Amino acid sequence: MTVASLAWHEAFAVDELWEGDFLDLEIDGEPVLVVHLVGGAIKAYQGVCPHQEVMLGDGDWDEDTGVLMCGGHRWEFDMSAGVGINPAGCTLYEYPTKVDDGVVFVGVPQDGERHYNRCPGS
Amino acid sequence: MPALRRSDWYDLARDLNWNLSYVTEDEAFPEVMSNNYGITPNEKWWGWDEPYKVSYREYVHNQHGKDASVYSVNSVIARSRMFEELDPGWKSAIVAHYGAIAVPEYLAGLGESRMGRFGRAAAWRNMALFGTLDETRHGQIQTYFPYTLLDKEPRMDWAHKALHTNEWGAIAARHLFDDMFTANDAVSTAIQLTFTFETGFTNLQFLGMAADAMEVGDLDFGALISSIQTDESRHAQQGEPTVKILVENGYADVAQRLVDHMFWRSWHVFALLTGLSMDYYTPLEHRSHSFKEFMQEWIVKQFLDQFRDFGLEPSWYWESHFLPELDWYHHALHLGVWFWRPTVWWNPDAGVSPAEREWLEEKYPGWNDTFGVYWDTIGDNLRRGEETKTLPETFPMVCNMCQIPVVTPAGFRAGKLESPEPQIHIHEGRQYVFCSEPCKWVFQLNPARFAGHTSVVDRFLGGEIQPPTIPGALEWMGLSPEEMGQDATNYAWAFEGFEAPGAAAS
Ligand code: FES
Ligand SMILES: [Fe+2]
Ligand SMILES: [Fe+2]
Repeated sequence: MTVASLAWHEAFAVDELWEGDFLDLEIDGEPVLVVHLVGGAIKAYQGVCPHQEVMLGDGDWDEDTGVLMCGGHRWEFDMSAGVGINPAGCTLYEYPTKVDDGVVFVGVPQDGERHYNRCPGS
Repeated sequence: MPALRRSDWYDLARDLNWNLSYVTEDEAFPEVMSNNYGITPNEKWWGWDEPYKVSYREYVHNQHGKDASVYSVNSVIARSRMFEELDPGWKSAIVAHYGAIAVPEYLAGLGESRMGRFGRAAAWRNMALFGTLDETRHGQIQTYFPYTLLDKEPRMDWAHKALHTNEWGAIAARHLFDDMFTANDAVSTAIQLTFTFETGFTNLQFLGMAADAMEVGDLDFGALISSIQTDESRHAQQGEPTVKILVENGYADVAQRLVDHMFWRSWHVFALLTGLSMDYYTPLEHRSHSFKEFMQEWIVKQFLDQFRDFGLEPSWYWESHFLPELDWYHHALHLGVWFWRPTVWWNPDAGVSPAEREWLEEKYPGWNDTFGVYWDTIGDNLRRGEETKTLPETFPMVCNMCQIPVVTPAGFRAGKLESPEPQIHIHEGRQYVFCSEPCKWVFQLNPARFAGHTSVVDRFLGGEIQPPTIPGALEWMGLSPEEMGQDATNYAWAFEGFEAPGAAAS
């Protein structure tokens, strides 16, 4: 996918989201979870759980380990890479992000596809 | 902390499958305990893999923490005035919940332990062991919490009592849960209890209910329900791998039939308990959505996703029977439960004050014409001081499948049924009455399983309930006058906006 096919959406100012915090957003009509990891990296993932689509933002977040546990059925994700820990092998869809002049932008591909992965009962 | 990561040893440690040589497979896994539906040999089940994994050590550690925190919330709150200050409708919802759910949690423990022994793969039996311990905990905690409230609400003892009585709602619950897990085989239990009922209904309901409880200020119940949900969400995951094995082996039709059967039955009891709580008992200012919205946004959406994910179809009655019932069924039940209020162990909250009626009309356009008119008459009678006209003199027909009163005339009036008549079916010379086509269909799937049961009304007409009067039946149901339900707000709703002399409005 080329950068040209992305629509960049202004999400929030960097200092609105502290390290170790996350935000539940709707961007371009899509639920997006943005996390500010301890250490500084900012990542944006699908906002609904790939298992049964419970909102990930309603889950339990451990800022020190960077692990998010979905409230639906306890699935755990390593939010530094967007990969499942328990169960392993289930990956979150990741949106590109960039920071420009203190503002975080999330890129949404303009491909008419849905931007989330599902791992039903795997 | 253990030196190895769970994933490094887990698969090896739980791999306790082996081929039997001293006994046959059928001897070790008799069909009545574990129906393999033709998937043999047993190796075909060994690929069963639960998505979310937990070791015994982690399990014990987590559960200990959960119990410590939820019991400490309870002991702090027991010394407060929190319960007295709760809304009367909400209290009714809680009293109804405990009676219908606490003992069935123990029964679910039987179903889980059957899977713990007769589940067809070691990984599954391991999960079901945790499930057994979970359900034991849920039974205990949900009889203990109401026990601590006995001095404030004596009917909290129905948490333990209800399922041991012949109260009609308790019979409906027992009939459903016996079918689903107490008297079900391990494979069917995984599809019907964990996949259909827990994944589909209760886990989502508990998520929502915990939030609602916090909203209305019931910290005790909120903490309880969310603690239970964390277990429910884990052991419910026995369903998906089981469906997967059936589908992969070409038995999608079996999975479909098991789901269709139990979805319908769960829906009816769910409408009775949760439908009334959400749309009538929960205080208006704390309702975040209507029951229909909850059903559509959570339950319906999730089932459609699951059907798609596993290659199943929406049930045959989905469009024709199920979706239309979302508009009227629980409203009809509510009217009936309120009118027959002496037959239940909680205080039904009419929930039809002027503001609440406006909300109902907005959420269910046409509610006033279909249901409001009955409440008008009831209100008139109460304002004239003629309470007896708002109380029952006879019993309604009861469905021979869901054991819930037949309310088809209301569905007909709402324009959702072609006829007000119930479904009649003759089997081996006996006449059965059903509230709906799907209830009749469930009966016909397996008549031998259901044919011997007699409903409350069958027993009444058959002379088993003596004297054959309303008081005689109430006694048979285990309801003393002090325990019988009364209007939750002592009819305050009927006087709101009316300046009747001596009106109870305040
Ligand atoms: S929906 Fe997130 S774990 Fe099931
Ligand atoms: Fe439970
Ligand atoms: Fe359960």
